[in-house]
Amino acid sequence: MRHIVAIAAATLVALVANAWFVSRGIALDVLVPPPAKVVRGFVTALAAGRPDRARDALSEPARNEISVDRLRWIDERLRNRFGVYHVVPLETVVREESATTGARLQPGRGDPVHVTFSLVRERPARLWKIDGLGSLEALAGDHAAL
Amino acid sequence: MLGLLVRATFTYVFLLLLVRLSGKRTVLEGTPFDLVVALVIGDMPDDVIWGEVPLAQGIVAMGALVLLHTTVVYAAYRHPLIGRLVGSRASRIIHDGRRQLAAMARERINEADLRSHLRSHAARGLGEVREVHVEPSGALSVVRVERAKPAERRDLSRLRAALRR
Repeated sequence: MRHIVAIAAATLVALVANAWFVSRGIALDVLVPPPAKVVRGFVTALAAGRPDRARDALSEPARNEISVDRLRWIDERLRNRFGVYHVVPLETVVREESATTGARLQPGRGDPVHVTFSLVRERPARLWKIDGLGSLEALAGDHAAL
Repeated sequence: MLGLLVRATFTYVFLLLLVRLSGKRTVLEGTPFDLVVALVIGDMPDDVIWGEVPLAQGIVAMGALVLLHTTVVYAAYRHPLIGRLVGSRASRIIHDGRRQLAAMARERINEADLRSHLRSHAARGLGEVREVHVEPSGALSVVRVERAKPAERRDLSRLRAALRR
């Protein structure tokens, strides 16, 4: 029984310490995934046909704006245009509570395309979230015009 | 790079603490389910170390799984009924040198597997075996007939006594 209490206590102490560091903005780069990882996770989930999971990477305003069906539509358009695709994050510019990550969308067919993602730190967990899909939506939308 | 070092160090220390607190069973002499839990826990630190998920998520996932598993193991130890529900009992596949075909089928152990296990226990055939059990851990335990057991110190004493007579 002591073991169970000790495991619960160890987990709780680690969580409280983590929350304390996060709330004071100490070592945030260590405690939360950087923007590049968030972008890669988002596109990987999208390309894997998991729009619901990809949507978790969006900020709250973006989630309200972009539905799972919309993400599925973007994925279908990108797939039609590029075949199997993945993303390689390139440079990230961080400005306090917002960031911009440039990435290379590596298509299965055709030339790589440069896309940018704007991200914001969402409180209280201070996680980086994608705030808009401007260039990705434009890519998907371009295809409609072709 | 520093972030990677810090995350790896934290994960190592946290996992070490959880494994020490959960007891030896998770890694040794466990059931097949203990092995599955150990594998799942072993897969989790990867994402935390590479910064794919927030550290808090890793702490919750690892802590919750170890806590739940330790609780279930403890409950199984305290209450035989729970033990029967979450675990399995040893099953006898050889009795008095005879195969128990239904039990062998249940444990999916065929003749070749059985012979292989007997050889690993230095038993040359069914004639040397009184009982074979498949233990909850999946390991086979062999009870030999008296005449096939290895010589012991007391056998030497008996032999000397017989020679003196």
